[in-house]
Amino acid sequence: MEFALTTLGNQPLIAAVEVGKHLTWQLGPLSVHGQTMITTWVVMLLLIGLTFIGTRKLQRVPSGLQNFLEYAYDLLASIARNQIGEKQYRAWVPLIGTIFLFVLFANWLGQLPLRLFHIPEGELASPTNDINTTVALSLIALVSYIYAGLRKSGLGYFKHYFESPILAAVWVLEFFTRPLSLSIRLFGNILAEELVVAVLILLVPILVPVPLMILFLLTGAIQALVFSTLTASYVGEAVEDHDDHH
Amino acid sequence: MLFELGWAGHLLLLAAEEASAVEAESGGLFDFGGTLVLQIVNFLLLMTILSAVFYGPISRVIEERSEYIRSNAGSAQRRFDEAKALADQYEQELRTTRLEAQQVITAAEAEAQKIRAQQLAEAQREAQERIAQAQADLDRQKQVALASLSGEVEAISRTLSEKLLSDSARRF
Repeated sequence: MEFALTTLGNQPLIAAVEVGKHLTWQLGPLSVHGQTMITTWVVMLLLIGLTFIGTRKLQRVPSGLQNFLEYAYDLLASIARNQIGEKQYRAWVPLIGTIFLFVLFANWLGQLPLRLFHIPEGELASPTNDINTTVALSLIALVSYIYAGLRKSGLGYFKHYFESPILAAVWVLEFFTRPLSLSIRLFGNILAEELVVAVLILLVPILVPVPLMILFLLTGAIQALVFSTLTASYVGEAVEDHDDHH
Repeated sequence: MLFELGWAGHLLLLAAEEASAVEAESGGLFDFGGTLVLQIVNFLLLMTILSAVFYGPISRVIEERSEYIRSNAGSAQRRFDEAKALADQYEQELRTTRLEAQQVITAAEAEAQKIRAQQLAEAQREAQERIAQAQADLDRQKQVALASLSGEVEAISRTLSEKLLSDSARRF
């Protein structure tokens, strides 16, 4: 689908908003969205590069990038610790941290003028703009917290399903609502942001979109925080001691 | 096409142009497929790599640092305790030494007192002795003097009586 702003008559195209158009790659049996892959790999390279450079010469007295990375690690660990608890949060820092970093960088990448890089079909945008990405993340979250529950209490994790039929229905429903809400929240927010910016740029291509883009840097960070905190809280709920719980 | 944005187009007075065949077969916002699978793979890959280059090393260095601080604080505490024990010991020794010095002084004073008393007694005894000796000398000399005096008295009295007798005889 494409919206194009054309002035009266047959003036040339000034700007356009494109939604739902993909650069399709055929990788073996898989047909993938090339623009999402490209920006995902950019995000991955950025994260890996930054952390790789920053952890080359680790010192007891940190300085520069190491200081910053330790601060970032502290932030990520505190998200996990607050939701999962002092005893067992350590094993979950990589999952929670990577969700946060990936979503944050993906959201912020979308605020760059990626439109300047032309690709044959569709346009480069934030990877979280593609529902495949957000569903992938939420499926990973789902599998993680079920795994956490199974490892904690074996098949007893599903015991509460059989306590009452009505609650069982709620528990089963939860399996679908949690990943659905996680993925749709992120997808909807980022897509809406990008559409708003695109439409604004279409109407007033200069200065006006800037405050909004700054606001979207903030909401991008909030979305990352929300996604990782919710995942951590689901994991925390799965691993907590049920004796304390009831 | 699951997602229609036609309203936005009308609202913003945009001319909508429906895109052609490509999106009819694989377009749209909710086009699930290989991307989903690849994104899962991508994420797991990213998580593994970040564990190796970020979470692992950083948590290790933080752990080592807190361990270092803990052990340093521990050894400092230990040294402080040692110093305190040493100070206590010195204090104790000082007290003992003071007590000993006090005892030595007391003993010396007692000794001196004893010597003084002894010498005083000695001197007194000597004086007594000398007095007694002098007394004895005096007595002896007195005896001698008395003896010689009595002889003289006898002689004088005889002479006197003879003289008296002779005088009286002459008168009569």
